[in-house]
Order: sequence, then C-alpha cells, then structure tokens
Amino acid sequence: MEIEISQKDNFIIIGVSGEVDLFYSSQLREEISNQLNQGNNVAVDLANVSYIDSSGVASLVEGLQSSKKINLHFTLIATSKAVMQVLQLARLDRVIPHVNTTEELQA
Amino acid sequence: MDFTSRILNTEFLAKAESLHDLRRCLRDTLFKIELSSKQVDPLILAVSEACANIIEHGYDPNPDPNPDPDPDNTEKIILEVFFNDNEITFQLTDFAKPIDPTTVGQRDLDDIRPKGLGIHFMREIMDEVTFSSNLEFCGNILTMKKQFEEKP
Repeated sequence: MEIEISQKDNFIIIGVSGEVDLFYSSQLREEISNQLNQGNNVAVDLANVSYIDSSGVASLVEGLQSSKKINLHFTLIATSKAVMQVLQLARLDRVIPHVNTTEELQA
Repeated sequence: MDFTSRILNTEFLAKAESLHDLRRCLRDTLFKIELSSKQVDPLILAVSEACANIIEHGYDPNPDPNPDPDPDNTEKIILEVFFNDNEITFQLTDFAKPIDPTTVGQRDLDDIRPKGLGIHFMREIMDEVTFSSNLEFCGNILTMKKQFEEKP
C-alpha cells in the first residue's frame, strides 16, 4: 500500500493505492488521525485501492467518527469497485460520505 | 457422482505480512478452476478475513521479534481448499489457543463502530462457517463452504 498526500481547497487528500489489509491498515489509520489532529478536513481517495478488508474499513469508520467529534469533514473519493463492494457488504456505503471527484468536495 | 478433490494445501506464517501472498496464491488457485472474478473476489475476502482473525486473536499479538527457529514452534496457519462441481470448501487449521465457538458472534451492523466486521463478511459470503477445536493438538479448525448454483 502507498499513501500520497495532496491538498484541494480546504481538504487534505490522502491518496491510497494498493491493498489495505491487516498489515497496512494501521498506516492509513495513523495518517487519517494525524491529519484530523492537525485540524484538517480529510478526503481519502480510494480510486487505486485493489483490495480492502475489515481492518481497512475500520480505519475509515474511525476517521469518520473522529472527524465528527471535532467538527471536521471526512469524505471518500472515487471509491474503487473493490472498495465499494466491501462497503456495501458492511452496509457502510450510505454511512460514510463519498463523492466521485475532488471537484465535488465541499466543506 | 460428485468427486471432491483438494486443489490447494499450503501453510504460511501467522503474520499480517503473509496475507498478501496468501491472497495471491489463493487467487491463482481459484482462477485455475475457472471461477470468475465475480466469484473469486468475495471468496478471497472471506478467507483473508478468517486468517486475519486467527493472526489477530489467536496468536500472540506481540510476537517475540526473535522467534525460536524450530519450525515445530512456528506460529503458522494451514489452508486447504477442496472443490467439486458445485461446492468449494476452505479449511483453515491453526495451532493457537482453542477458542470457544459459542463466543464467536457478529455484531449488529446498525451499531456503527470500527471493529467486528470480519465475522460478518465471512458469514455473509459463505454458505457455511464452522469453528471447531483440533482434537489431535492444541488449535482450531475453521471450515467455510460456498455452493454454486451453476457449475463454475
């Protein structure tokens, strides 16, 4: 898994590629947490994620819950088919906000 | 007459870094029996989730960084896959402390929280998920079955 950080308007975009599983999910969790703790709205770009498991999904849920506690925005961008299928399986596709492109990000 | 054959028998270290290679090995095996991506992807997820659970909850989450090199003491998981015309079976054997199958549950999905999704994924994807203790040695056997309506 690789992470790339960029910025779009008032969002920090965490671009993730590869597989997000038990081995790598802690890295994603830490990055999301770090960005939120710095007071940033966070968008996680999952277009290039080929696999995600429950630990990866857990890191996204934690990000959402943490963002709500400190009144920041947390959104997913361009969830890949693989990711969307897993979110649907967890019934989180309608819980975690997601948009198709960075242009749709709104804080 | 159904003929069930074992199409995979492999073992790997019970470490999170093993999961990637496990999934790749399993994917190759399932494509060889001509399952489609639509069929393979959820099976990969369920098996990988099962292995992740064993690694996280069965074995020591803080393993000795300098483990005993004796392979008999290596924390490992054995994966066997059996296949016939309309059913595929995954059997995972570990050597961790035996679990009480009655305590393996899944939470209400309406309760939005990070943990507890792995078991849900396994039971949602597979037609049958069975936990049992290994009577020959200390450990557990997890069996998951998926039936196909049509021959893959």
